[in-house]
Parts: sequence; structure tokens; C-alpha cells
Amino acid sequence: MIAIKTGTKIALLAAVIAAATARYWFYLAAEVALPADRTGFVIVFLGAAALGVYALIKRTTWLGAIPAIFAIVVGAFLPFTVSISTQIVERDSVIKVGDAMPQFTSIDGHGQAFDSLSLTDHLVLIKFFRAHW
Amino acid sequence: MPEVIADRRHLHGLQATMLSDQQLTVTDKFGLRNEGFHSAPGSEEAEALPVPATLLINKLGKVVWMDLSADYQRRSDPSVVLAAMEAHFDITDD
Repeated sequence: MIAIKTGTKIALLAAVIAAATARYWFYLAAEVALPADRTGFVIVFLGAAALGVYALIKRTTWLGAIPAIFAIVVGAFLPFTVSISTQIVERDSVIKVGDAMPQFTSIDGHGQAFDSLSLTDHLVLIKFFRAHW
Repeated sequence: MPEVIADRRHLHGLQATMLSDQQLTVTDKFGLRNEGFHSAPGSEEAEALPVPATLLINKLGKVVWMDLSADYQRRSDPSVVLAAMEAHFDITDD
């Protein structure tokens, strides 16, 4: 029977908490359902990171350090993204309800030129987004 | 990037026209450049990113509704957009 160090057990617990919470986070992100108030997430992630640090303090083997470091990285990174997620637009230049839609041209997914004049006389929904989730 | 759009289009099941705006020229025309911190995927050399936004434009080319997200991790809820379309668009006449 191999004795598992306490530090390793704590590291594994921290990694499981970090992985399960991150999995749920990305599931909600894919569903466009991340809550506006993510305090609960931040607490759990930071808790997992703290457990990871605690595991390293309690001493573990080099193998046990892997889940500990995983928990620290995941647990610290997602709260960091929350802290920088606020957007700022220049109030003077941003388009407003009642404004005319600016005319624009671009390239579509087939590499074809697109001109917003082709939208004239149509009801249009425009979405600006920044990534594939 | 156009080729990425074509490549990943099936993931979204989208019928809509997807446009790329790497230089943010369209974004700037709408004033939607994010002036705050932004995070771009490491593979994309974007200097800045747009603020997630949804706009409804009527047949006269006027903005009749819009929703700006103050937070890039949040988007317009589809049910909110659908309700706005029902309120602002006379769907039957298009």
C-alpha cells in the first residue's frame, strides 16, 4: 500500500474543484449564460488556487505538484479575466438609437465584397462580436 | 479573418452573412471599438476588439434598437433580441 502524502491529496482536491468549475464556466459561456455577477465563481476559483498553494506548502511529490500547479493556474486565471472584462467605448462616437446606419463595406466568409447598400429596404440585425464563443 | 469565418461557420449553424473586420474599420464607423483592456486569442494579432453589440436597423436604415454589452463575457440574451425584434420590426411586411 503506497501512502499518499497529505499535500498530494489536497492538490488533487484543488485540481478537481478547479477543473469542474472551469468546465461549468465554459459550458455557460457557450450557452451565452454567464451570470453578470460572477462573485461565486471567483470565490471558488480563488479557493481552488489557494488549496493548490496550501498543497505545495504541505509538501507533495513532483507528481503531486502537477495538480497543485494546475489548480493555481486555472484558479487564478479565470478571476483575472473577470477583472478585465469591462468594456469602454468613447461616448461621443458610439452609435445611438435614431442614428442612421453608417455605410460600410467588408469581406464576407466566402471572400466576396459586401456593401451595406445591399441592406437598403431590408430589416437588418447586426451583431458585433469578438470571438467564436 | 474570412477563411476562419468560412471554416467555422458550420459550428454556429448560421444563415446570416458573416463579415470580418480585422482592421476594425466597420467597428469604428459604429464607434464600437473597445477602449478598455481586451483579450484576443493569441493566434490573432488584433490590436483592439469591438464591444459586443446587437443593433436592429429598420428599412429606412435607421437604428431602432441596440444593446451594448458592458462586459465582453456577456452577450445580448437571444430572448431579449427576439423581443426587441417583435417590438421594433413589423415582421409581416418583410
